[in-house]
Amino acid sequence: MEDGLRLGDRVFRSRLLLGTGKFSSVETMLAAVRASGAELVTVALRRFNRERADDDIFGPLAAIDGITLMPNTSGAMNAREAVRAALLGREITGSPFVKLEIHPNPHHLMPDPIETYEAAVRLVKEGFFVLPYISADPVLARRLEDAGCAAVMPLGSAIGSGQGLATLSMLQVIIRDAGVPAIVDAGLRSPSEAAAVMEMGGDAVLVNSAIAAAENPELMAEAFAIAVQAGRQAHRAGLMPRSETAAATSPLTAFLAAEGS
Amino acid sequence: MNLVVNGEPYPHSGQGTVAELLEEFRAAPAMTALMINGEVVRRSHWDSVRLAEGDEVEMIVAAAGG
Repeated sequence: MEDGLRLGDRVFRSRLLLGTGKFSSVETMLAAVRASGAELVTVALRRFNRERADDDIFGPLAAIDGITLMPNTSGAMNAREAVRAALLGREITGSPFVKLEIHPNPHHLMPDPIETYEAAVRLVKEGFFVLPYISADPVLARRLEDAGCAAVMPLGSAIGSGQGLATLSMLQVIIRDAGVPAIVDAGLRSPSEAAAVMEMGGDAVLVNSAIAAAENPELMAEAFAIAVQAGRQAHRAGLMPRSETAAATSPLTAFLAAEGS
Repeated sequence: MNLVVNGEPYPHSGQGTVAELLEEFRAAPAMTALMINGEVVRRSHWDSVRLAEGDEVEMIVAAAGG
């Protein structure tokens, strides 16, 4: 496949990964998933509830063609719980992908690097394609790559904050140095930020709140899809060099100033 | 036998098989994952499981999340 996103043993056409949280209804979420063209879609886990037995999102999501589910480990406070969540997620979805996230502090939701690393090592051994959600830390990104993770997912800013690319300079370092796909996850608010990530060579973005909390999630999903595609294409095309001075694009002829008779 | 299912006491009247328990809860086996006493039990091992008095069972399903 031309210019595919390789993760584990799979190649994806779409470079927009979508989260399914915070949508106002399952129908809205499904419409956004379709409009986004995303092929890798995250889900969380919860206890089965007898009163809400029909409220299962796995069935309708699994019914959408071309979608691979990626369970997350949200709620895990440490490596042990994250491994457990990953095993449960694989049981339900049959997917080898896991979004590894361990963020014990509910106020800032910053990922715990030590527990995340420990869980990543164990999950790689268990045969998962591990996509760890991390702070924009190039050292940790390299350690996780060396541990066998399928990608690294540094945050743009705090989960759900819409603060955009607050970590821009470190993202640039990670994108430049990573030997596995670098996927910017969390904090994005606008499609232009997604395009910026792709222009600077990011391999993909994972978006949830920016789409789920938009006035029209389906339309915003499509907007992100277009932005990701545009940014990727611009990266492949190669941006022109920046210049400190102007450089005319039209001939600067003198005839307009010629003296009249 | 008395089990604890998803954190709540639950009196189970059958033989303690996973299939019975899921049926009692009307949980779809293909969409459910199980943890017994803190251990994830893979679907392929469900048939060999016999629940015992006091066992703690977690029935987990997929949910919306980012």
